[in-house]
Amino acid sequence: MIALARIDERLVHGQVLVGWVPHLEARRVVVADDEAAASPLARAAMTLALPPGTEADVSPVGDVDWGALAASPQRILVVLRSVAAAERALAGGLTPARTPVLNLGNLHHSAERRPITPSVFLSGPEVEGLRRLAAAGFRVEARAVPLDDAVDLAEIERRWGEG
Amino acid sequence: MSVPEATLRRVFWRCLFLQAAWNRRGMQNLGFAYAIDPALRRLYSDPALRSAALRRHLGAFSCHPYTASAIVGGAIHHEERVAAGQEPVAGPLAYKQVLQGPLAAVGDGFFWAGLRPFFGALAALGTLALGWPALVASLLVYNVLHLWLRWTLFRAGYRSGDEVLTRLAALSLPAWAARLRDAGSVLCGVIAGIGALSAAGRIGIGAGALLLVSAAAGVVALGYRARLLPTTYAALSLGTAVGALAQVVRGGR
Repeated sequence: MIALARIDERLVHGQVLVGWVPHLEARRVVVADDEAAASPLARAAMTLALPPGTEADVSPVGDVDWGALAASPQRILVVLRSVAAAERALAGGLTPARTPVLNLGNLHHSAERRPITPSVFLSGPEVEGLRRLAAAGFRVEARAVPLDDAVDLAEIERRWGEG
Repeated sequence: MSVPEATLRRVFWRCLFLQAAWNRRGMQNLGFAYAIDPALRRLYSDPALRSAALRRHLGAFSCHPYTASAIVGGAIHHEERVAAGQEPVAGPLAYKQVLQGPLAAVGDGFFWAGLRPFFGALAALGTLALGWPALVASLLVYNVLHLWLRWTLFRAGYRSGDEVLTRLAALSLPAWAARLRDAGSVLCGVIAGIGALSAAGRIGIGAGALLLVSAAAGVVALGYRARLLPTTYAALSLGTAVGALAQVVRGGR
């Protein structure tokens, strides 16, 4: 089953492997990212970082068989790089029925983005994308690590409006 | 050309201040640029090239402060190639981009969740058993070990660039992290045991039992994913309150 789908520009890092993997009791991390899948260095680095007993796959977003992941007996954490990638994954079969929560981890500052939480900055088109994902049925939350409080979409929109 | 040894040492020294100018937008970006600057000055004599090089290292960067030294070393490795015209300017940036996340995971898992708690527990146990010199010794060993690892990672990054991953894999830090976590838990159990025996000896058997019950309640709560700090304080104050109450009841008799 897919325990959680997370949007994180940093992909696999400490918050994911030290925070979420033990919290979710996940045994497998699926990184669905075209750029990382094309980089032998990225694949090697992610494999190296895995704690014992955890597996990882790095594949292009379009190549992931979401139905097979959802049907798997293993608990799986899915990591995507961007809101746009999450929309592509939804079109490819990563549906709310297969994983209800869409978590926002780290989206860094850039000129067109506004601050939402210390680790999440969003642009206008990204907020639009999140609205579409929520309309499709996902519960969208911004939360860097399991012990943080979850910030829901209504609050994300309010903070974006203020920023 | 390659960066002289003395400059590399200077860069390593500056790596120790990676988080000194931490900020929400770029995180460790200023620290990274400050650390690598002496090497860039050696590589680019043309002020315009030097300025462009420094600017490209001001992009957002975030890693574990210890394992990041491998990336600073590797970025110098790549900058030497850029300066020699052997690779495009995007090379060092791609290197930083790809490695920062995974190396942060390695550092968080090994140093923050493994080595440091282990030495914390060792220091506590040592101090209980042998007195304060054990505390000083634990701090000393931890710091020598982590500085040696930071230096080793920095050198490995500088010498081998992308191959640093092979060197890092050989250290199998995630496996050591798991072992250190287990060993640290055992040490904490021993500390609780010593505490219980000492309380039982000094105050009475009830005090020892009370301490064990408080510790066990804390462990059980953590097992149910209670937050660490509130649980620790709750267990401590519960134990103290019940102890004080017992004292009052006994004294009143």
